[in-house]
Amino acid sequence: MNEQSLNLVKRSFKEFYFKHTNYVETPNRIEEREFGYMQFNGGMIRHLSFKNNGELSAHFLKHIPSDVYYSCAYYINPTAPMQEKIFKGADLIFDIDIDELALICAKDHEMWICNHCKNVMGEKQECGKCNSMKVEKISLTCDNCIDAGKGELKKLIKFLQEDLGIQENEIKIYFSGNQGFHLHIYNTELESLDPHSRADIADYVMGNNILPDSFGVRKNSHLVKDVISKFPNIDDFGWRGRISRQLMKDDKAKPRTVQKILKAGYLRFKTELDDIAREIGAHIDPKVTMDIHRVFRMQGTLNSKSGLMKAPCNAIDTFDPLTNACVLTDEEVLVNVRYSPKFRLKERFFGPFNDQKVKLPTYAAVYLICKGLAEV
Amino acid sequence: MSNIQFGSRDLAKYPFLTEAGKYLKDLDYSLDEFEGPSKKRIIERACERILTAIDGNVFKQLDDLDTEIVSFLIALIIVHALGIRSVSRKYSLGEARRAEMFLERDLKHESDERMRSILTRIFKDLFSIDITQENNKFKFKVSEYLKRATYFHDEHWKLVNRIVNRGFVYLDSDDTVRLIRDEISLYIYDKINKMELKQLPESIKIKVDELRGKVVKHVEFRRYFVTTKYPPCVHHILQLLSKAENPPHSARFLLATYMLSIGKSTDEICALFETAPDYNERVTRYQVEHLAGMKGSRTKYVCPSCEKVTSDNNCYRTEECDGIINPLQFGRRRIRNE
Repeated sequence: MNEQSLNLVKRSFKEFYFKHTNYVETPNRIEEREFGYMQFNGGMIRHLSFKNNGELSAHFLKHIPSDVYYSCAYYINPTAPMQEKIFKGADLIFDIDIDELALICAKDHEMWICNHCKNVMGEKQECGKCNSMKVEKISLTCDNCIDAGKGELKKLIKFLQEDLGIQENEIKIYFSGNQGFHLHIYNTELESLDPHSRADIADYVMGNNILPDSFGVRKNSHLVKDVISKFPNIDDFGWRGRISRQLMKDDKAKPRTVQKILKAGYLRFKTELDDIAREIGAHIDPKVTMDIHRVFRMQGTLNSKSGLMKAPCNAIDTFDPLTNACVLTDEEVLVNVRYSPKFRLKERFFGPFNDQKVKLPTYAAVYLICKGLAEV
Repeated sequence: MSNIQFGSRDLAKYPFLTEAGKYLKDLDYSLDEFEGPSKKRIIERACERILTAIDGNVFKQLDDLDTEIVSFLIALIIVHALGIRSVSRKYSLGEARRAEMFLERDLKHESDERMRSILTRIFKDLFSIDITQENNKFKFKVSEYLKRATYFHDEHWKLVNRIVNRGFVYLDSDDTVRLIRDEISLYIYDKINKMELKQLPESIKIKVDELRGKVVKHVEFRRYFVTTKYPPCVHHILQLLSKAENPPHSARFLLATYMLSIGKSTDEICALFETAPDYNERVTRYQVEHLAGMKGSRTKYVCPSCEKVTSDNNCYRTEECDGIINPLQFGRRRIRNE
């Protein structure tokens, strides 16, 4: 972004942090966390520690970061280099990335931008203007994206509560500030889990690697009577029940279902299980869940990829991230938009724009600038 | 359930239980007594236990119950005095397999309630975990289950293939026994390591020296067949690169750490990435050198496990991958010296 654009974004962020320090939600056990932030001129500052909310707010009001992060882990020495921090435990985190859901609406608001000349293209290709191969995907989240993200959230919460026994008050949900949702779990028994165990939980909610053997179907199974006693009922717990409800209407259909499975064979059933799991499992980013040393965006701070806030989502159905997370001012500014499809922020729709100067409220102007689609 | 009385037969089968310690106290054994010839049989028995375990077999004897209980303790002392880590490991595993054998056998013949009480007691005694029972299944808290089961590489142990409800994992007796075998092994290994011995009776010292000579014969030297073929996951990444496609970050990490582990130089590894559309020589070199422990934190990164590769969606498993848990083991078959 050019200097004027950068100044506008910086000024808006500064104004937000001065006016809304109360939005910043300090994580629990603040003294055991590592904090870090990105600067507007690039570069990441890490290994910071704060004693309380006041100290933290004062630091960020002074430095005005583009993005603020804190560790999901608790350390004995949060300011020490990584090998000397001494891990005590970590929150269990889930990340739902709407961009990874392969939604059909993506074609309406997904584009590619050349990192060199900022040329905007409809598909991933070599830049037609400067021939650079360095192109980046940009997407403007729409209502359909939000609904799909919420659908995944609901699936995930069901796994966490019904199967893993996590209580409602141990779960906190946030809109990431760009294209996803973050789900934080504060549970003392789970905080000591190592990355392997966390990967196992991620695989559980996604339904990865379900074995036909768990349903009594083995490679050498041929007889219905051998399988039927181990085949789940539709009201069985966990994945067994979930899968069987997809395979049959009621338990009376069990012999017929088992016969069909045996006829198709072990491998065909394995593929069917994978297909069902893909459909009814929660789509999360497993790398985020298993990483215990990750620094994570802080709730109530701004995301420099959009100018939106990482906002708490207390009631999934009524939560509207495009309104609730849109916290910059309404003051109008003139910007030159290279290209933008129609998009909504708060209650207003904007665009489509194609290489034109438009007056936009600051929140919309900053949104397009952060996406790389506009300049002051 | 908790009021179960352990007889000497139970303790001979499960001599690591705290009751066995109390039982020995009642018998009033002291190490000094092992100087005399009357305890020769117990020392011999202890050596038999050790050699059987080193051979990879299970010590099945259950004739003289007091001897079985005491010989377990003497065997621990001897293994500690030997101070050979591989022997401690093999012995611990051997004892755990013996317990597993009895547990499995007893589950078939003894009354259900009694056996379940023994299993519950083992968990409580050894690992301070309360497990409960429901509808003939043992209930473990998800966190307790994961801490143990993630060490098993068979997919059967993955949480997704278990019955999970309201924060508990439900296991049948067989799986519960299998789950605790490794725990018992670790528990015994830990017990051997933490032992503090002052003075050993001469009769035991002689046996320790004798065993040391025998043990050396049992130490296996391993040789491996190695193929030059890359595992399918690595091969796939190389194919992507050859087509000038961008492999994901996790795949690049896998490729670089794999190549570093098999001894490729950083120059050779950087060259592999040259065809990537986003190739930047300076960045690639820094990252490869970082993984090799030459830059930054100086941590040398290791090749991720097959489990991690699968979680990252980079696994392209073929039949040749059967039985391996890390891409580095691909094509490597162990052969033993005669």
